[in-house]
Amino acid sequence: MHLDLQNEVVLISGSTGGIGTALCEAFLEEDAIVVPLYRNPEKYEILHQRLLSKGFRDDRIFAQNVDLGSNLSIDSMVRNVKKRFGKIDVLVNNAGASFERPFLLLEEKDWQKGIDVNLNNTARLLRSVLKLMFIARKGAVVNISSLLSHRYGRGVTVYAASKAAVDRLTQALALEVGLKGIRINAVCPGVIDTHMAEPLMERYGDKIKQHSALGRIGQPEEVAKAVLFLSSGKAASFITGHLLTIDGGQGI
Amino acid sequence: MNKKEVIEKVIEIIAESTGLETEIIRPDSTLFNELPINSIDLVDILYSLEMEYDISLKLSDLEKQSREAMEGKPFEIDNVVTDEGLKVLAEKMPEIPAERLIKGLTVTDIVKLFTVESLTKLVLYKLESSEAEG
Repeated sequence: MHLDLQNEVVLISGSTGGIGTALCEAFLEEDAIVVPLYRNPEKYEILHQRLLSKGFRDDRIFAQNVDLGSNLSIDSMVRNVKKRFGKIDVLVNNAGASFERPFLLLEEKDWQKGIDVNLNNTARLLRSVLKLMFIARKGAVVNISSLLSHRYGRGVTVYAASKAAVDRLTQALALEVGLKGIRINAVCPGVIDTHMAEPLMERYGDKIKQHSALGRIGQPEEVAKAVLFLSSGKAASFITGHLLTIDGGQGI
Repeated sequence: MNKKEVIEKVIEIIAESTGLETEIIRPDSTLFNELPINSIDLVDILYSLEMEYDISLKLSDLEKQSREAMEGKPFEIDNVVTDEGLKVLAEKMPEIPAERLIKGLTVTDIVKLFTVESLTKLVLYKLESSEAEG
């Protein structure tokens, strides 16, 4: 099935991480126009060189350095994208961060940072991007949540709580904007082979694999494929407010 | 930009956002009571006006001018508009019938009194502010 994502303008936050990189590649393979959002120019340069080395055309990539903690920075980026392409078809809210610490050792600033990065920044970006989608009466959003939003979570309470909030944001917002032609879904990856999962794998790698129905952890590309599907107005036209777990059975 | 042009554009955008015929959208129509507009439609309308005029519109802008005119007196206490606040609202928003500016009005409910003309005035106020800043 063709996903009909050619020439769709796709914003991807957290583009330089493991899943972000896979997302950029997956959308470029579909001949979409990818707008990787990044904060660290050095990390973006690594991503950029990787994309070029894989043969992707530079004119299909319109990277933007954005501070997701700033409305001004986000609005400026959205203006740049609007000026260049006149539209935003897909937003993938992929930026996020996790760190492990027992709840009772968390300081107020740690908690606030977790909520800011995983929830508030997602909401901030949505508020700005949805404007263009409202006007276009068309759009798809995929929020990258986590298996931890509804399972496990010992030692990562703020991450689990903020991702649970992202799930509910996804569903409640889907109800608000559906009549405007905008679909909002989330994917909930289990343990995926990225830098973020390295500390977890070092300590519990074998246990996690044993606990998975498929006997392994996931690859970033496997998350990206699900995001492509949900982003496609052709393939997922009647799917909104859905939380799709991608965990190889780790959460069963 | 004159008021007539802006009001025509506001009516056009409301019609586009809601599917209503332009003929039934009058300057004195309240958005939420007399026109079948819901809060999501209002978001849509505000977005469209932002794009059209390259301004930023927030719901809190609705009563901002009145708050600014309070000269230090409280505009609201616990979300309920004070008597002084009601007076200033009546001055700043004469398009709203006096019988609707009653004691007990909450800040949250001010938006429900908003008319097409109120929205037009808000756009003009923002345009003037942005010109002054520019």
